Amino acid sequence: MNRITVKAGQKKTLPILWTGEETEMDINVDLAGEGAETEILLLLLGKGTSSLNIKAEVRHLARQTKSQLLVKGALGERARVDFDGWVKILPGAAGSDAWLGAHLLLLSGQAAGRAVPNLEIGENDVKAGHAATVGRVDEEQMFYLMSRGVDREQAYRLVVSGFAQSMLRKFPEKMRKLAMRNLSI
Amino acid sequence: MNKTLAITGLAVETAEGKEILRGVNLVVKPGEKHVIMGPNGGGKSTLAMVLLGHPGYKVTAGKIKLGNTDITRLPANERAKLGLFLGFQYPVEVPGVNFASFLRLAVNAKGQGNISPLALRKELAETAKKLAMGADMTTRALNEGFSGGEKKKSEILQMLILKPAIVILDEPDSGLDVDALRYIAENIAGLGKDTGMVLVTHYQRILQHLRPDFVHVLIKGKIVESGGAELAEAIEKKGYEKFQK
Repeated sequence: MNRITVKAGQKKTLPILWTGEETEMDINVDLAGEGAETEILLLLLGKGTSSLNIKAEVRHLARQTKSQLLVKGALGERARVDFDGWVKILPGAAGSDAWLGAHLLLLSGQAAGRAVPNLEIGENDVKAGHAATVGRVDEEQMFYLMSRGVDREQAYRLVVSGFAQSMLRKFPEKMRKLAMRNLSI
Repeated sequence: MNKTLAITGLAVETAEGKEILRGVNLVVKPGEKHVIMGPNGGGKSTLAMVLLGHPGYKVTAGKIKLGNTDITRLPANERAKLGLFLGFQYPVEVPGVNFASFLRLAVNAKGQGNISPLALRKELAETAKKLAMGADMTTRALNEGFSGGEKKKSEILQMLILKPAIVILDEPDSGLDVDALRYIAENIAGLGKDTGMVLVTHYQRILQHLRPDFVHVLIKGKIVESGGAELAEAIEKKGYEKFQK
């Protein structure tokens, strides 16, 4: 198990792209010093029969630490993702700020996703929140786009790539290109 | 584009089988401005959605023609390509989809030759100015994080860029401050003589900026009264009660 430690005053961004190779992932980040920050970006693009069990954990060990753990997944065909996210704010990590957001989009009737956010908070003076959704492409968005003249397939591609966009924006060039290729559904 | 919208005996129910429209007849010729008023639940918004083919409704009788084409069973994108436009009451946010790139796709889908990204951005910026919208419109995502007023303006902006033959506007005036209402109404009033319009509204106030040729009262899924602009004034004073027998 890898554990990444972020020291006082440092910021560590971890962009991670999954395109179906790995079956297990375990990500652990410790915010060990005052003011340490992390942004973990997980973009999960599954196709075929690819399957992933993924666990990500952030521990706030010091004061004024900040974390964002963001997951977006677009799962086609028979792809499957099982995500467990943990944010732990330990006693003493006062003034910390944590956000955990996980959103999986199922692109086929056979795709499956599970996203469970967990917060463990051992300190009063903190900000922490989470959101998790597993859903399908929104028909109201589809109707809106199609009402302007774009066909169903094109509208679908727009919604799905738009869904990943907020994360892609923050990815390094090479990774972004690879992700875009995998997004062409 | 110069087309007449003809709605004949249109009956519609929801996917759950609830009857909403019970035989609507309406003809909208190029250049005509029609306003549909009526109490809540009368079917105004349903009519707007059904004209574009929203999948949540089922046409059980009647038909919709645009020009010479029967569009009753066509998907929304085909209707749009033939020249129909719907300004949504609640414009949908589509995160991550760039406004300008999307509109370019929509313009190109209409098949009147491709417009360059640069030309589109220029037209978009100029048109946005007419609506007192920020120049950053071109770089933002489609309605994402827009304020209520910006969303309503976004609909009118898209309408002006797409230049449809017939525009359906579902409450373009709701939830706006006085200035936003004026900008929106002026741009609607400025539609050319080739463009037919159906505007659904609750309020008389947009009609202070925009004089309709016809006003229709839609109650319980039927047009129960039609008249000129004076009908809207009468409704403002006396309400709908006298039509609800």
